Amino acid sequence: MSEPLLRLENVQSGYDDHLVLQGISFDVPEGSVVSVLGPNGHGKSTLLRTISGLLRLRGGSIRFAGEPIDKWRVDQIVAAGLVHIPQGDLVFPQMTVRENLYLGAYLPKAHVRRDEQLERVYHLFPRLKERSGQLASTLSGGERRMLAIGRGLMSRARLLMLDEPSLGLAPLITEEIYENIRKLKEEGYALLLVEENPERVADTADHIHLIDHGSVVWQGSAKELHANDHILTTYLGV
Amino acid sequence: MAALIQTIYSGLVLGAIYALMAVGLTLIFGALRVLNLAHGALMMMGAYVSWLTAEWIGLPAFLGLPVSFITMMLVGFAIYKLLIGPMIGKPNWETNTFIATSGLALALESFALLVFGPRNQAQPFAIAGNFQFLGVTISYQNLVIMAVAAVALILMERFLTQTRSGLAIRATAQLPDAAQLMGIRQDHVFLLVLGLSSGLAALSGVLLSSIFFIAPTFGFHPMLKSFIICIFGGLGNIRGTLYAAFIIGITEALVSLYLGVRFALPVMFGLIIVVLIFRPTGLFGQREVVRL
Repeated sequence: MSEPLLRLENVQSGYDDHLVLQGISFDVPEGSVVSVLGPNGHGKSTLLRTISGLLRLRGGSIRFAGEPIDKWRVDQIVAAGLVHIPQGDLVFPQMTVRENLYLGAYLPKAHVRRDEQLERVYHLFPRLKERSGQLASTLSGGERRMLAIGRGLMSRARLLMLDEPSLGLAPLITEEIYENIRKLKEEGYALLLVEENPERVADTADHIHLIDHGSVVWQGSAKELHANDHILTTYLGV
Repeated sequence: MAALIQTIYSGLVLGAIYALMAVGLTLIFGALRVLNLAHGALMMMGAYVSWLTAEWIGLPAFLGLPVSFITMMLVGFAIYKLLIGPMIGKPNWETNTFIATSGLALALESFALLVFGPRNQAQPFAIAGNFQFLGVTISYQNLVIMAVAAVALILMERFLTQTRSGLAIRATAQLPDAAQLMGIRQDHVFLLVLGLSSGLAALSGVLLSSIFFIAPTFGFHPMLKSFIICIFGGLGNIRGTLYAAFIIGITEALVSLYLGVRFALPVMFGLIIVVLIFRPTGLFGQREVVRL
């Protein structure tokens, strides 16, 4: 059997002299949705920042499409098709929606197919097309989230890593965002989905990893997670 | 009345030069979060390069401006590669770059003093003559200054909004981490910004020395004024910096006329203190955006 698209082995990482990730291992197979759950401040964002190269790996290895990427620069990792959509509303506030999307296709390979890709994103998020000339800072929370996802799609991604796409959104908007995430899954993207709330990912994720204090404490399918109420109570307090 | 118009007009000329200088300064602060204390020294070097082009090499004086821009752009690249680049991201880099750039300023000024001596030199990039218009004396050189500044600032605006590299600079200034996640190489952006900023400093140096003179320390006061302008306009905010440059230029001219030249800087600092009390992010500044 060939190697999965993304493979983490004993990943350790942190800030200054504080080790946050204590050795995390899991795979994201091609075309699947893998979710990482855990309470705030237990290393979920640190994990994504380490995979995308913003933080240096302290130990272990990260392989993407069969190649070790842990020594690569951030731009090389993006160019390989591993795209990190960061937490919060990290769209460029003083740029228009269109400029934000153009920046998603910044790298040469994505740049040549920019207009084609732009149409795809507008098709997926028609609201972005209506707002294309507006400054990103004037968008609503949900629109900003859509823009961040659309911007990630502008690159030629194979694996999208989404950091809490439902954070701070009203339930209806969250549902809308998740409908789009399921659409991405149908289109064949592999997704690494970080969330705090297990309800969000229950219908979407193929596989779930529970992180606590920088280690994976449980893994299984969404169904299995629901069958084990005590896990949810212990680690997430729900 | 004629005196007032004449003063406002001198203020506009000064404002155009300050705009070039302050935009360069604010560009570096916006993208790198580095306050470049060598900016005034780079301005001074730019003025000397133009002088050298005509006086030592013997090229036509009008070439002084482009030669100075390109030379100082290369110097800017070197400053990033050898001085600022190696410090960025390391512990205490904010303090270290602050000290390193002020050290560089001292070194460049001493170098100029050693090579060119303390005597004031006249800038060859200058056209003599003037004409009267509505009772105001307008020199040809002032028109050149305003034209150069306008063209440079318009090109700069175009570059930042219409080109891929310009977009990368703005993205890096707005959200550095998110910009990296787009595949933008931060070191390339920083290199480019240092080059552009030093080039702009050179232009302002040539233009300012064409109405005053060139001397090893003549960049210091304009740099102080540029800091005031940048803070006034909101550090890192280019549009705000432009407005502020003209406000400060005209204020300086008016204060010089009615109170005397020696009150220009005190009044400006007074003004900036008042602005900072009521608008801590500057007159046109925005709230600091949340960083990743």
